[in-house]
Amino acid sequence: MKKDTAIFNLIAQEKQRQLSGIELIASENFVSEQVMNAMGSVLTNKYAEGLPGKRYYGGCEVVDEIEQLAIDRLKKLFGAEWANVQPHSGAQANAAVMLAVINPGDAILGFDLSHGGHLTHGSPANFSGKLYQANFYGVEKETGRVNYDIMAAKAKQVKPKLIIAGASAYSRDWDYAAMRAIADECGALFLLV
Amino acid sequence: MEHCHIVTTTTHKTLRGPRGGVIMLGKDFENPMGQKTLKGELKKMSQCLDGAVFPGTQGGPLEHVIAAKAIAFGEALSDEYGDYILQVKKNAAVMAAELVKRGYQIISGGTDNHSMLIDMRSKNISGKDAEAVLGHAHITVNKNMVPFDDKSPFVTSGIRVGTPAITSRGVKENEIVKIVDLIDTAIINKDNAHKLAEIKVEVSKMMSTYPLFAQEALV
Repeated sequence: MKKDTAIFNLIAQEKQRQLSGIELIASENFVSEQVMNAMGSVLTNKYAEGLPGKRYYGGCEVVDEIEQLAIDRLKKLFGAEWANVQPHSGAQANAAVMLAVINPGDAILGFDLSHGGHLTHGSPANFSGKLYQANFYGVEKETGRVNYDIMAAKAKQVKPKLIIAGASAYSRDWDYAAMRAIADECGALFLLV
Repeated sequence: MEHCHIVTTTTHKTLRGPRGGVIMLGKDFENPMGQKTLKGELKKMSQCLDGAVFPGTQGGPLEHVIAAKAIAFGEALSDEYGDYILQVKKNAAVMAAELVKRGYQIISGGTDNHSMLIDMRSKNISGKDAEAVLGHAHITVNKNMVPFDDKSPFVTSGIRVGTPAITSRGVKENEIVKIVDLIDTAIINKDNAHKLAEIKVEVSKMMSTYPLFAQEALV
């Protein structure tokens, strides 16, 4: 087999692009060499459906140790009691949470995409807007900030099963305690994405 | 984590790992949906979520990416990463202040985190055009709707900018001021291809002094 120069030349071009420009996309970053090395490793060859110690394939003893290390480090980093490190993306993680905790047709309350929210908060173009009855809170025109009193009134009105915080373009801290209180008030679960 | 029932996050943005996601529980709890195990016992929320990832929505996990996540989480537990995040926020605060100084309108007036949304209407340029103009100068941003936007999601009135990536390259506050100058000069000269090409050369010269990842010294 020949080396695929078409692709590797393009990768070299992309590296040059990344090196010579000013990257200000807020959701991008540059990873360390060791993070990249792991992604280009033999681990991509392994099937490991299931969880460490509970797999549906043989030969998982090494990847079990790797996945357990990922889980343990993440729990330590965020002070979490439980973690799952398998979601392929943030959107997949949100899809799994919604599948687990709500049923199709249930009301959800998310951050309006056009105010800084995310597609998975109930956008009509996304599964979250197609499967669930999507409702939104937004920011105030004058302040550009989320108003939690308006959010509470909206929650009272639509009685969501799930309230979602988190954003793709919101530069302010969230009042998580206030949102949890709103969720408790209407019996909703509170998801931070 | 203490206020939320469930937390998800990506791993490739400020967390500086491979592209991917995770789900966490600050505290596990009995699921309020009433889902039961085959034995008829009420499931813990963690069991419901594990099942919703696999087999619910995914097949085999990407163990090469999970290994990279483990490495990134290890890096994130280091003191250097703490310093990095502080610098990301410092850089973002300086960027917001410098933009405001030059007449740019930032939604909510500033930032508490790594990012900001700029309403470009005060500069008479759409988000789409601003993205393209800055692109010609090799400054990469993305167009973004602003709250109560009067333009379509494809055109938009705003751009979103953030500092996680340039901070990983080693950029500090002084260079941020220079970067905002370059942005402003490009926007002012939005129709001047020659000037934009000049800025691109300057950008390239400035960034050639930085590695892609500044904290490379591994021991």
